[in-house]
Amino acid sequence: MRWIAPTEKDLATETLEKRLWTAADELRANSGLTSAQYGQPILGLIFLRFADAKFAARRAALDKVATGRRGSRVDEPTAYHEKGVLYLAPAARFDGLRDYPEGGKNGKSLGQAIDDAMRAIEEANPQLSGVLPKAYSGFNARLLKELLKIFSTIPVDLEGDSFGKIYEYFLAEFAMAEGQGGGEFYTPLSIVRLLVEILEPFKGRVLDPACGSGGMFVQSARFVAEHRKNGATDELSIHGVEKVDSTGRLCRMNLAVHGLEGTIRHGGELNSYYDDPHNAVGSFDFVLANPPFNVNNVDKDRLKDAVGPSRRFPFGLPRPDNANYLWIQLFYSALDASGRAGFVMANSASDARNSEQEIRKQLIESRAVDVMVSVGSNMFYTVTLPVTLWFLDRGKPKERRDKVLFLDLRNIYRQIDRAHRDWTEAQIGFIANVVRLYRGEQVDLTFGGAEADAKLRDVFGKNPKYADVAGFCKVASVKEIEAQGWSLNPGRYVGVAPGEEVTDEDFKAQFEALNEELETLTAEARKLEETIAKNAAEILQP
Amino acid sequence: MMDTISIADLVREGAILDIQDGNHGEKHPTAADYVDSDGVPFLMARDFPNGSLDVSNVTLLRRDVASKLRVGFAKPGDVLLTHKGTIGATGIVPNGFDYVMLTPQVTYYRTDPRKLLNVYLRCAFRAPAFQQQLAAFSAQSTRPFVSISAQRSLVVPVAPYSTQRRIATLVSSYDDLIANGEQRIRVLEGMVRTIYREWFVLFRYFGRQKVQVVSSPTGPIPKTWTATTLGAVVEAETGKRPKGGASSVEDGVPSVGAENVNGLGRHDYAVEKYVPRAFFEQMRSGVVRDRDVALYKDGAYIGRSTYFRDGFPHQTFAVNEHVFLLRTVSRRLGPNMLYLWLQQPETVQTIRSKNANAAQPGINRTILNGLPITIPSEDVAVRFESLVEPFLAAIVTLAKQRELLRRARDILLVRLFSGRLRVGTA
Repeated sequence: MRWIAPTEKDLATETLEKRLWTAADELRANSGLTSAQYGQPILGLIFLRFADAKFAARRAALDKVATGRRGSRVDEPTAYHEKGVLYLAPAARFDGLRDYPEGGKNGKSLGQAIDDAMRAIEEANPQLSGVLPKAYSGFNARLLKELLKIFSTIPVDLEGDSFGKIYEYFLAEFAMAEGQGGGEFYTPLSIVRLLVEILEPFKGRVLDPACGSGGMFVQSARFVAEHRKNGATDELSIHGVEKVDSTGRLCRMNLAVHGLEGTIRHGGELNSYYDDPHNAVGSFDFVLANPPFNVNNVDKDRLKDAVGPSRRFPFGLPRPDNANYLWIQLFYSALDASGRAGFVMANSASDARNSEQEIRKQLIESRAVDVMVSVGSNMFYTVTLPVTLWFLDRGKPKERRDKVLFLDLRNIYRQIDRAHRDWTEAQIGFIANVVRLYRGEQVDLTFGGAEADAKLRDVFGKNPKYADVAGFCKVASVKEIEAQGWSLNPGRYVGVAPGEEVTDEDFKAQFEALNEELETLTAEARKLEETIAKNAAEILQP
Repeated sequence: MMDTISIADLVREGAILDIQDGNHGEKHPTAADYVDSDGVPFLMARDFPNGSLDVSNVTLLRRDVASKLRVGFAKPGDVLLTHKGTIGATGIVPNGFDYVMLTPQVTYYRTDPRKLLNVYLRCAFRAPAFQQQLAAFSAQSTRPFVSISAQRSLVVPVAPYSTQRRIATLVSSYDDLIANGEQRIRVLEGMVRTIYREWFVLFRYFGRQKVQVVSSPTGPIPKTWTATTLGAVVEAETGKRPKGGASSVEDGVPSVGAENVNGLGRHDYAVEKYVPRAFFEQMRSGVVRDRDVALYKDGAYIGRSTYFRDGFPHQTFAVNEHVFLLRTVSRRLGPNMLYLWLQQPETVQTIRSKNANAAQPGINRTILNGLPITIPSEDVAVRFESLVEPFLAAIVTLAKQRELLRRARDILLVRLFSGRLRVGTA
C-alpha cells in the first residue's frame, strides 16, 4: 500500500515554539557556542519560566484565600508542594532575573545569579536535586539577558501541556542540530506516537531502560490524557534508566515541565546491560524503548548470572558481539504475565542468524510476539536507517496466541523535506486502528479523526474488518514463521501489492544491512573522535 | 622514569592470574580443521598486522577440534603478546567470543582487574622500554623467540590504580577508533563489492531497461558491452629490487612486494622494505603512479591485488619484480572498476588456474594479457567510476586516519611511560 501525505508548507501562523527557537538559535549563532554547549542551559531557562508560571498562579490563589486568622501561606513551600507546584524562593523568580542588571549587582554576575536561582530551586524542591543546569556563570551576560527576554514572552497563562510542547520542540531541534549524537537522546515524535498508539499504555507500571530525554513517558501520558475523558495521567507509574548522566537530567526536567513524576535512574556507572535498578524482571505492565542499535563490546562475562528462566536474559546470550538480542530480552523479561512491550530495533535483528536466530525462535515459541512493523528510511533526524518496531504481548488471548501481525509501512509517510519523513496524525491513527481491527478491539479515532476513518473504510470496507492486504499487512501463524527460518521481517510475509515493481530484494537487503552497520560505526567514531580531541586538548595544555 | 616490577612478581602478588601460550604439540590443528563460519577464532602472529590484534580476517577452528585442545584458551579481556617469529605484537581478546584459541606464537596474560588493568598492561607491553627488553632476549636465540619463563623476568612500570586507569582511558580511545576504522573499511568494501556484482555480474546497472542482452564467449552480456582480453585495455609493468635483498636500507624508498599486496587501504608498515634512493632513481619501470592497480604475480599468494591512490601508502614508492602495476588505457575501463574486477573471487580463481597450467610458477605477461574481461559501454563505465569513487576514497581516508592515530598513540605511549607527562587521575 502506498500513502504519501503531501508536504505541509510552512504554516503562515508561526507557532510559539518555532518563534522562540528561531530567536534563541540566532543568538547561538552569534555567540560562537556549539549546540551541544547551548542545549542544556537553554532547556534550563525554559524550565525556569515554566516553574515560575506555575508558582505565580499558585501564589495568586493563596493570596486570595489568605485569612487574618491563619495568615498568608504564600511563603510556605508546603503550600505549593501539596498542589504539585515547585516553590520558588525570591532569588529564583523569573522577573527578578530578567530585570537583573547586565553588568551584575554587588559583584555577582547575571550568570552567577541564575546559577544561584537553580540552586535555590533544588534546595526548596529536593526531587530536583542535582537535575538543573548550573553553568550559566560561563555565559556572556548580554546573551543571557537576551535569552531571558525571549523566554519572558512565553505567556504565563498557557493551558494544558504547552510548556511541555515548547520543551519538546527545543529537544527535537537540538537533536537535529547535534547531528549523529542527537539521536541518542531523542526519538522522533511520530515513531513514539505510533508505538504508544499500538501499545495503549492506559494504566500501570511503565519502564524504558534506555529512556534518553523521556519522550516515551511523555507520549504515554499524553496518550492516556487524550483517550481518557477525565484526562488523569497519574495512573502511570514511570520508571527509566539512562546511561548518560546529563541526558538523565534532561529527562527529569522534561517530566517536570509536563507535570509528570517518575523514578529515573541515571549517571555513575549505571548501565542497563549490567544493572537492574528497578528490579525489572516480571514487574512491568509496559516497556517502551528505543535502545542504541548494534552495540558491541558488552562484557558478557558479567551477564552470565542473569541468564536462564525468570532472569533478565531468559533465552541465553547471543554469540555475536552485538547487543540487540540483549536489549530484546531485557524488554521481554521485564514484562509481567500480561505485560506488553513496544520498541524500536535495527532491521538486521529480524533476520539475524545462528545464536540470535535461536533466541528469536524461543521468543516466538513463547507466543509473546504480537505485531512487527517495518518502517522506511529517513524517519530519524540524524540517520537514514530504516527500522523495525517490535510489539510483544505476554498475555495474548487464545485466538491470537499462534499468530503474529506483520505490517509494512515503508510506503506510508509524509515527506517533510528531502532527507526527512514522518507520519501525519491521520496516518498514525489509521495504522493503530488496523492493529485494533486485528485485535478485535473497537476502532478509536481520537487520534487521526475523520481522515483515518475514511482510509480505514476505503481499505477494509464500510464496516471495517481486518483482512490481509498484499504489500501492507498479513497475519502469519507460528508455523509459517518457522517455515521462513523464524524470520520476523515483515517484508517476507506481506508480499507485494499488485502492480508494484518487484525490486532486487537481495541487493537491497544486503546493501541495507551494510548501510546500517556503517551508520552505527560512524556514530561511534564521532564519539571517539570527540573524546580524543578533548583528551588531546587536555594533554597539550601548558 | 616510573618504578618497575617483574612479571614474576606481578604473578606472585596475584595481579597476574595466569600466563599461557598455545603449545598444542602433536594436536596442533591443521587447515582441515578450519571452517568458514561459526567456529572458534584461532589467533596466530599474522592476526597482528602493524603490531596490533585485528580479528577481521581470523581463521576459525571447528568447535569440536578446539574443545579437544588442552592449552591456549584465551578469554575476553586477556592481554595477548606474540613471542615467536613475530615478537612483541599485542592485543586484548575482544568481547563477543566465549573464548579464542592461541597458536604457539601467542601468549595470554590474565590479570586481576582489581589490581592490574588489562589495558594498562597492554600499554606497558607496547612501550619502548618493554619492546627493547623483548628485542634483547630474542636476539639471544637463532630464531626470534622469547619463552614464557624468559617473559617472567621482564619488567613493566608500576603505576597506582588511578594512573593505570587514566593511561588506559587515554590510549584506548585511540585503539577503539582504529578498530572502528577497520570495521568501517570492511563495511565499505562490502558495499562496493555488492554494487559491483549488481552491475557487472548480474547486469542490473543504471539504465539497464534500455539494453538488450546478447551472447558472447564469456556468456550473455548487454549488447553495447564487449568481451575482450585484459591486454587490450590495460598496460602492465613490474619493478625490481637490488640483488642480495633490500630490507636493510632504512633511508631508501619504499618498495612494495608480496608482503604488502593485500587490498586497498591495507598496508603493514612494520614489514616495509626499501631500495636505495639511487637505485630507485634509475628504475625505468615499476615506479608507482597515482591510481595504479597492483597484482601479485608469483608465489604463494598469487592473484592478490591492491590499489594505490591518494598518496596511500606512500607518496613516492616502487614495486618489486613480483608485482604487476596495471594501468588502464581504455575509457571503458576505469581504475576503480579494474581493481574491483581483480578483487572478484572469480577473477582470482581464473588467475590461479592459469598459474597451475603454466610451466613456470606465476603468471607472465602473456597470461596476464590473455585474461578474459568484459567491459561496459563508456557511459556505464564513467557512471560506475563516479558511483564507487566516494566509497573507495573513504577507505583510503580511513586508512590514512588509522596511520595518524597509530603514530599519535605511539608517541603518547612513550610520553606516558617516561614520567614526563603529568597524567591526572580518571
